[in-house]
Amino acid sequence: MKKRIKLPLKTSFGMLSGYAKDRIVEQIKLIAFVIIYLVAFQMIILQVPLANALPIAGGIAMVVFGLAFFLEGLLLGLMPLGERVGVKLPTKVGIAFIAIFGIFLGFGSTVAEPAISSLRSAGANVTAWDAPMLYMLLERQTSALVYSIGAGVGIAVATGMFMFYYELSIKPFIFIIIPAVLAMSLVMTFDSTLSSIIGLAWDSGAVTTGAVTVPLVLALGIGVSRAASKNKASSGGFGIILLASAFPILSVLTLSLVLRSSSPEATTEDRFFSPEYRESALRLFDDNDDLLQHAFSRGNEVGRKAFFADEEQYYQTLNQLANNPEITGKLLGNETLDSWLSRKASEQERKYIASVKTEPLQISSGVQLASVLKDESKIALQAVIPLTIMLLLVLTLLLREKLRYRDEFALGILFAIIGMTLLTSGIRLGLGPLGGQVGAQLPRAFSKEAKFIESKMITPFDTTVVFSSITIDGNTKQFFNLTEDNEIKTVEFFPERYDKLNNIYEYVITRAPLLGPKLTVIGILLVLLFAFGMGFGATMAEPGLNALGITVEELTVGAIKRSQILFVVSLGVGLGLVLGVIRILYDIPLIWFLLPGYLALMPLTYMSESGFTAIAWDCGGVTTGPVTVPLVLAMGLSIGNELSVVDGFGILAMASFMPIITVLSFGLITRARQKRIVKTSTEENDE
Amino acid sequence: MNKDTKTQNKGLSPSRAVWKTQIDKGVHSPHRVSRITCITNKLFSDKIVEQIFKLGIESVFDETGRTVREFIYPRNFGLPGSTVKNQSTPVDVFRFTVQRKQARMVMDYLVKAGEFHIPGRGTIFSQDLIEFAKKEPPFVVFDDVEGEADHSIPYLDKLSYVICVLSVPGSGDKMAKVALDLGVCVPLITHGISNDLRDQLGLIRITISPEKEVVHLIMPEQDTESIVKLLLEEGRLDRPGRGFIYQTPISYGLIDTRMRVGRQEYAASMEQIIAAIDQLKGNTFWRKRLDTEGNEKINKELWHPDDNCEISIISDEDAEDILKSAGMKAGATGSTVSRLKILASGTKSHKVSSLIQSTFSVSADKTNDVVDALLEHSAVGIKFTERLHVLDSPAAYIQSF
Repeated sequence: MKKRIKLPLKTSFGMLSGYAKDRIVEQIKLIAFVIIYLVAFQMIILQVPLANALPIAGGIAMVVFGLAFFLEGLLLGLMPLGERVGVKLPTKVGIAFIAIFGIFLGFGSTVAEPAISSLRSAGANVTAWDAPMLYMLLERQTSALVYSIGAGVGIAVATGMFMFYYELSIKPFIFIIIPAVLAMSLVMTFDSTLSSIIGLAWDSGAVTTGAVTVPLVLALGIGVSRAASKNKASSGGFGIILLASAFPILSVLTLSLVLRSSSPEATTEDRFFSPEYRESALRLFDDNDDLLQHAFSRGNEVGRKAFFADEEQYYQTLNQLANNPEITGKLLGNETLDSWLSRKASEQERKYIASVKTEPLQISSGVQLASVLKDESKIALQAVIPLTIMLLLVLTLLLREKLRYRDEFALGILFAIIGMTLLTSGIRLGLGPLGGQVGAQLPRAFSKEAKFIESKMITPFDTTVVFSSITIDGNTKQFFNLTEDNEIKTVEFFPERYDKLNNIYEYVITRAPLLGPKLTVIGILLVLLFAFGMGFGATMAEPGLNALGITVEELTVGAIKRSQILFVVSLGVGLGLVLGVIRILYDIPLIWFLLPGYLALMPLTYMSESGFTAIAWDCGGVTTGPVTVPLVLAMGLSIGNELSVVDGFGILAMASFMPIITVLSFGLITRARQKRIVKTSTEENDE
Repeated sequence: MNKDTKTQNKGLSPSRAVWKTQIDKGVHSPHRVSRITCITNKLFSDKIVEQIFKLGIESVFDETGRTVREFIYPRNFGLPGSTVKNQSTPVDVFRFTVQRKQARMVMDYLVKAGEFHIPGRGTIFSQDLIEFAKKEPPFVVFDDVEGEADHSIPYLDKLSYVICVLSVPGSGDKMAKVALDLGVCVPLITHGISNDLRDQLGLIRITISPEKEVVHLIMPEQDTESIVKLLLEEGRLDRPGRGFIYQTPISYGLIDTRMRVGRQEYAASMEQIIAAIDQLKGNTFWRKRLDTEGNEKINKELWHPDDNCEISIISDEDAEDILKSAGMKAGATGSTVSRLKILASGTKSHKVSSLIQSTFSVSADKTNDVVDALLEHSAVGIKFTERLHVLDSPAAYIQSF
């Protein structure tokens, strides 16, 4: 046996730097498109300079390093562990135990991963009076929601194990489960209370399969399939991700059916907050204070006024909000008064608060890097460690096996944790705010009038600073110079915004629409183009999809390359997002897209080869991950806000079924090419 | 192994030496068999497997791979000329052993089932080797087999099976392109794993990928040396750590000549003409190439003609480490591991976790020791699924550290 080679430090350093450089350059190539796209769109098309460019750049750098570390951690640590457990399970235990293990694994991974927070972000604008059932599931019955999604994923993993153990094709499962889910959604469309849940249910399916669950469950499935398979009909290990996307939809729809009776009916805002309706309203809130907080954080002036028995109490509360920090915190939660005034307060409320406020407004400071890293590292540890320990215990205690390269495995887990921390922090500090900035500006493309951004109260306002200026056609306009952040700006003065009594001037910042009112169609096309580009670019960088692509390339020995999978799936997601935005723009019910979409998949699935079908359906489940979801939600919520649409749900579901169509089509084209080699050669040699 | 036995075996080829040694030992009985390899498009795999089982052969080993061909498309937008792209097609590589005397007839049935005489359908060939297994391959009763087969198929003989094990990712496609450009054959690419160098390093091993791309080429024996030298130059295999090449002999076979798919400019393609002349001549000697330039550049010290042996052992995945260390202790420089599946006929189910094939390319003087060590540490002779094959390798190009 050869002795251990001791490499000189220079050689080791050279090897390490080459290896690190390759990984990082690979990630830069994948994420470059979406970053350049977003920045170019913001600066060239929307013509708005990028704010906070330096923190955003720093955040993006963290994303690049995070992706590199995370992916490497998956390949060194998590996936070999999953595969080893999968390969050994069928040889040592029976299918019953494997199925039970699958349930625990699926449930555990769902509860551990922070996917549910994406759903709550999507539901940030959901109001208790418009969509009471939706509000109840997201805010009141959060545990029930998480557990039902977890149960769905657990059953999915168990079913997947069963499928691999008995080498069943995935097609029967698709033909049974998908129509069942579609039928249930269709029936629920006709109930006004339950119809709001459909978007949430389908998006739950889309977000469950997170960055850690996907590669782990994939590797496990491949291991089991490799150990158990003896014939050609098996799916080769793919298919669990599809099941883990479909079963949670069923479980959430079922949960909503069960909880339907405890939810009040949808109603108008003022009726909801009125004292007469209080008993019904309190089914969704702990107490009056909680209800009032909802009126402030998500309601409008009409709702807030309706809450109080008389106007005097309402104005008293506003006064306390302005001057009592304790009350501010109680009514607005984590939001600052400054941000609330811009976001939710009506013009009258803003004026009133400015008039009674005794101290200047506190401008909130930016997010601290250290606290973000601390929060995200906790989440990363929670996502990775419990699953790893569970699998290690099963491997060492039950299966009595050892891992081959233990030091590589430990390094891999460390990389995965560091990578996930850097990735999610970078998204929070860089990519998310970038997407948010572009997303916030996006509705300008199709809006017909100037959009209100924020307003600032200037008090006491000295009218001597106002000066006049004349235009060519003889009209006079008034202006004043405003000093802000040590910069001087000349701002137009509107007399109607000056409150003489209280000596306050309301300085309103608006952004003009991008195109004229006659060019709204072009504006909409611009938004759709943006949606496509963002979906395409963000999907290319998804770590889960990269892991899937690497696995597909390995199993097909390079016949299907990772780059091909990435391209075809990203194309599908781009197209899906276009449909998602159309849905929001024209407020089309989600089922009108889902039903034809998934029905179109049935004949494609029937015609495709079994192994490839499983790969294609898994691609659909993998797409919505830590990179895509924040960007997509920022865009969806912003457009939804502009159009006062209830919720941002449904976009993620669109980004899940379109890739399946594109991948299955790609599979059919490839198969036709294979047949071409054989077919033409037969025709040539016919005697 | 003692000095006397070594002296006795000096005149014999490596496989013969192994045969003699093991017969003398009396623990494991070797069998003289033919290993048939079918490289077939996945669309036809089921047909081939069905035919193999119909012949009474109980189990087949299946490895996944891909073949590379040139696809010729007309240029976009009506521009003149064509674009040539290399495209991969997934294939199954089936391997099984039969009694030597029956190999030809078995192949006739498979050629009929898979239509291997038609270019584009795949490749089938037979290699004579020594096998150690629990049971000898079954005797095929051809009278009981339904259907007739053509027994006058003009197989090509005097062929070489050249295997290139490449360490640099992406080099498989480059080498396949070289082979296609030279018009050698339709290259087959499979994946292998080799941890030989990695296991000697500490954690720094994560910077070296364990995955190897194994390129399989079949070519006329007389051309082998010149083509291999070209491949060595193109693949820069004279540099350490980039890989190695070795060749093993093929008794006879039908080779897929469909290297190009797509627009054909003449009434017959070059491959069709070559295949027709091969058939008329009954051999490939007529197309001996002239010696190519640059073969002087190849380091003669690292070129080992008439000196090697391919030892491959099929075992459970768990046995990989034990077998590798046993082989290396006995003198092998390392092994390449590939994943296999076993397909069994009837209701036989083999509860195996998964199978691997560890392939050692060993110099002649070490062969006996390595085979001895491997047999000692394996379950060959005990488990039905485990086999050891010994095949003479007339030439190899291997860099050693």
